[in-house]
Amino acid sequence: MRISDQLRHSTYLNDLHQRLDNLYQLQQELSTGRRIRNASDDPSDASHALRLEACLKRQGQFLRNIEDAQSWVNFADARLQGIVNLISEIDSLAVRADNDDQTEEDRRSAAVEIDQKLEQLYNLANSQFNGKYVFGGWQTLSNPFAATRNTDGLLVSVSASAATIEGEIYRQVSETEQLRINIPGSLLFQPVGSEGTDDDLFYVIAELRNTIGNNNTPPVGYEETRSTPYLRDKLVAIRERFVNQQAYLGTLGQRLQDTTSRLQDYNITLTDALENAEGVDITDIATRIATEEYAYEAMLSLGAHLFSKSLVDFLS
Amino acid sequence: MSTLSGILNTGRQALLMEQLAMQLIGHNTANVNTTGYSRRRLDPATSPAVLRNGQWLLGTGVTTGNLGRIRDTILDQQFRRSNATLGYWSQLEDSLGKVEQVFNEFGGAAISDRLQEFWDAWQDLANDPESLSARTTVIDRAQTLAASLNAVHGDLVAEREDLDQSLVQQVGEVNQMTTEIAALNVQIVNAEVAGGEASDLRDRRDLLLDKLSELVAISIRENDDGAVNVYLGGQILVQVDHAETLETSVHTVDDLTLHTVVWHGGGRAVELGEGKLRATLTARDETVPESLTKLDTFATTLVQQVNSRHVTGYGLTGTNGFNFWNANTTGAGDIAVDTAIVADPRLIATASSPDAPADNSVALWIGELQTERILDGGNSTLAEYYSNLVSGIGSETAAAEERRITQEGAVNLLEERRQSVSGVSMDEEMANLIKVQKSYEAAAKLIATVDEMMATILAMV
Repeated sequence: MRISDQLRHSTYLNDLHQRLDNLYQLQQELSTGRRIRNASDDPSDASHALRLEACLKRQGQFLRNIEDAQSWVNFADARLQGIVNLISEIDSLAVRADNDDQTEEDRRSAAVEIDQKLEQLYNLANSQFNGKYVFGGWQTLSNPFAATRNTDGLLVSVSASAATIEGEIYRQVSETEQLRINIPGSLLFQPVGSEGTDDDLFYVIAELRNTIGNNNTPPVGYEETRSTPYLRDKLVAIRERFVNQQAYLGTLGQRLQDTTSRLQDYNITLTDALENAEGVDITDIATRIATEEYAYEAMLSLGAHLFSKSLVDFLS
Repeated sequence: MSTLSGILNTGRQALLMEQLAMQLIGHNTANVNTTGYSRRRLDPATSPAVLRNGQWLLGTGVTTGNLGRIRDTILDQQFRRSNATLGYWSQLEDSLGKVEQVFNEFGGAAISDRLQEFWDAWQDLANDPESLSARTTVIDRAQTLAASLNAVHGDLVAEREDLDQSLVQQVGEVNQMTTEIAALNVQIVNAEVAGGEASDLRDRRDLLLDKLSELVAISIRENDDGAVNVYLGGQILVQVDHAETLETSVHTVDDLTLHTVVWHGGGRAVELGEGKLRATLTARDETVPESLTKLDTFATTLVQQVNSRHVTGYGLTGTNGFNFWNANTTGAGDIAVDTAIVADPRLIATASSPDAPADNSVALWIGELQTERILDGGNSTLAEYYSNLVSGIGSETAAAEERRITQEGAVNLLEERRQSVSGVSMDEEMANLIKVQKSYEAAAKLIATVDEMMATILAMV
């Protein structure tokens, strides 16, 4: 093949550009740490990387949702424990007051103590977390429970003030799972429609207080249904409701923790996959850069040598 | 008749011939770097013999045989055919690359990120539906997403208009080149009518034909008088001294004023074949509009799906029936958050019943949209649809790049072979220089010797 000067030049330049282009690509990969800068660099891996990235971000949001749920659960759990303790204390007071060795005076002071604990329970029913009422169902912005008091200021009855007290609140904790994180007040203090019945925590305690305060004597006509043993039975039954819901919170907390560690594991898998899809192997890149650099330098020196020589140099 | 003077004449002719050869070496070396230059070669021939003494045919020296360019017209044809294909793919790669850049999915300002942030904001709102700040965040994120979609849509429309401008410009280039080719045809015919070859003019014309072949697929036929006819899609584009001009006619598509390429007078459509023009049209009328359509589908689906759930829910004001996105959205270009929502974030629906501030069921329901396969006939989520759109353009770009590289290799190979035939080699010219110099010296020596011989004869008288 006959070689012309322009051919030598253009071939040399094409090859030089190719070398520089290779070097530039590698340099970009190394400096960004990413193999894919445009989808066209590797369309199938690019599509894969986009999906993985979206998935990874979604998991991040789920973890945030779980964190939020956990703080609710911890708060509600602590409050429930307080309530269960109070109910137990009231029960102990009632047991003692029911004893025959108690004087009327003893019983009156027991009634006062029970009343104080009733007020505490009422306050706990209206517990707020971050400015939201936790036992109010969907009614988080105003008192879910409202007390009616007699002229002496004594708590007579408590009614749920909103129709939405049964409302259940869920958190999205994974792609497919939504978990209920609240315990509506209707599952605890007062099932809907039970106000003033044996199922109403406030009613049972108020009646217990009245009976004990009245020297452990139920009002005439209610000798059976407002007697201290009867009311204690009801109180223990209601306490069972709280204990059950505490168990729900315990399971929920465990489940949230399990989901968290599952999501974290998944995150690691996803990050790995993403790294495989769009990341670069530094060692590999560094080696390739060294090779390309060597080839590039060799080409430069070749050009400098070859193009300075021609027959002209040897004509005298 | 004097044989001595005959020998003198032979020497003189040889001197002239070597001078001519030297002139050519000078021309070749001077043009060693001129694009499109074909090296010239002088083919000397023996001058006609004469009958001496009635019995011998004696040579009378040298004469100009042939002087002209060294060029392989078959290679030219192959080069131009390949060049049109190369023009097509490199232009398409260029346009697709720009579209890809508009999406910039791996560069930071990515819509898929904005979309994810939008869904995240809904879940944050579901975690805290009573809060105004979570509501404001949802609006902010939605507006950012909308702004990104508006921007990408705007850039794509601008790219389409740019492509239209390039088309008009490329048509102008074609017309300019064909006019020049027609003018060169005339000059070449005039110059060659007396015989010989108008080499420099032909080089210029060949260079123009090379450039023209990058824009449109042409075929070329050379007439006996040296003029060429150029054909485009079977129609005559240049006939000797006349260039048919291409024109652009205006029409309205998708509210844009776009141009089509037609023949001058009559407005017949032009069959462009391959080449840059065809690629510009492909990008303008297929690639970019397809991306726009998909982007619009993405936006309208997002609007419809979110709105259909949003209207059922209640915000903090106790009323329902509000759209979250502007219900009149026609596509990615005009997607926006409904003005009522922007004015009062409390209207964002989170609850399934009124006066239930903590009810987050509708917010969760809207948030669930992110994993629901609501596009491509139930096969893709919004995010997947979008990433398919981006990777689709990536695949097309990669394919065009692949084709361009392959074709570039083919064109380079042909160009190398052309260069091998027509290019100037400095070493070769220098070798010729020595050869010519020696021949010149020899011819001069001949004349000097004859001169001495004449002196000898004259001394005898």
